[in-house]
Amino acid sequence: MQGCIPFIFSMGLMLTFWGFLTFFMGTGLVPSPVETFSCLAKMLLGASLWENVAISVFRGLLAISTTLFLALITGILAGLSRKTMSLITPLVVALQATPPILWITLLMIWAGTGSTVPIAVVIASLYPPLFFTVAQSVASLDPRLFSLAKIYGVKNYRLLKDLILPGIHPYLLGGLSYALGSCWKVTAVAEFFGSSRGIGAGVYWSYRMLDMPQLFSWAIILVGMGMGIEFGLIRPLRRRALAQRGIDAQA
Amino acid sequence: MLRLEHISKQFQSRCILGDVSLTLAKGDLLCMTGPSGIGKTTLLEIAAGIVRPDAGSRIIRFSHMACLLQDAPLLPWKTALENMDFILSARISGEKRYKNSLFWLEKMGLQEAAHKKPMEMSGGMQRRLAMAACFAGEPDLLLLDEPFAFLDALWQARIWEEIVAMNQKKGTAIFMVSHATEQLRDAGIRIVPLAASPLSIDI
Repeated sequence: MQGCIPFIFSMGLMLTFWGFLTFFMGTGLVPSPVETFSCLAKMLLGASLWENVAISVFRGLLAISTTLFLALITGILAGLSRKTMSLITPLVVALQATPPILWITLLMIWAGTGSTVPIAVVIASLYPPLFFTVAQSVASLDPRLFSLAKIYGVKNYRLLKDLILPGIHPYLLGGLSYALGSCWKVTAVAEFFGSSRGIGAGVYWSYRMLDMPQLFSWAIILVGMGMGIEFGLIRPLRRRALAQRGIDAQA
Repeated sequence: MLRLEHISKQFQSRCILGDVSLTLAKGDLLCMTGPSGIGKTTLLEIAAGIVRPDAGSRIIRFSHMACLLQDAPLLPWKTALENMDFILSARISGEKRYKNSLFWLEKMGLQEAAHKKPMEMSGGMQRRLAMAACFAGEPDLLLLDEPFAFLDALWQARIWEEIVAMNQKKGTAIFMVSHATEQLRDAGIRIVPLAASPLSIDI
């Protein structure tokens, strides 16, 4: 119960602030919490909301799995070879410096609206940090272990299974927790501009129709899902990663 | 046979090995001794093929090599038995690997530590685990860098017995570098004292 107090306090503070905004700005611009929650309840009972949530979740999961796969392959290769690392780094830095809005614009022109835009934008945005996490953690593994494996002729799949993957595991968990947190937001932004379905698209249509209770309901869904991922997945992952690195995670 | 011909090696513009030639045949037991920094470990690592010489050639005709590196690296996230399994994975298959691992862990006094990770073991135990992996691989060439480091007199003697047995019974060629050579003097093995740097020898 004690653990719930900060949560209840924060929610109470937010609802009070929301109430003040409704009072000062009017229900046309800021619908009251009651009005918003009743709209949200209606949405929860309909099929459209669940369909849009499922689409966004599917896109997010597909994008993050693809990103992880690509980052693991290229990151391990780069971490094992300085030459590969120096050859790939400028390209990945360029990718990192490219703002998502540029990808969204280009992909909308090239692929039209649909799942391609949010999935590709998430991959382009999350691949660079995950790549560097993997490459740097592989490069930091004890080179004497690789020497030992070379002497005994240990096969590549055993190197991957027993040396590389367990060695980078704590760093990968840290990187993955960051990627999961960002994935959600990037997917919504990409859907807002480049898709007719999904949570981001729901936000877009509420904005177009100036349906403020619905817009606020989508906001609650987005924030709620984000918080669920943060508290249910990201924080436990980070704690595990920190514990594995031998650092006492009290934060 | 292992043949190193006119090997030279520099580290940060400091010449460690000047001109070293060395031959090791089946059944040979060679020990190099000398002060720290003279190039013993570098020579051993060149012999193991994990350090590339600046000049010279390395010819190796042995098919199964085992090597104890100076600080005996082990997978920190794996248990003693899993470490053995990893190291021996390409050499011995399936059930025999498991039996061999258990046999050598027991011989090295590590039967109680078979399911412990290196961090839960003392320096001496980690060293014995690395030695167990060397012996279990049934090598025809065994390279040992300071095999007696971190070990008490009892384990030094036991490991020396195993080294001699492996050399005499199985004909394993052994090349070791060590500071502790007292117990080796009576064994009639080739001990090469190294003094001058950069090292230039032809054995």
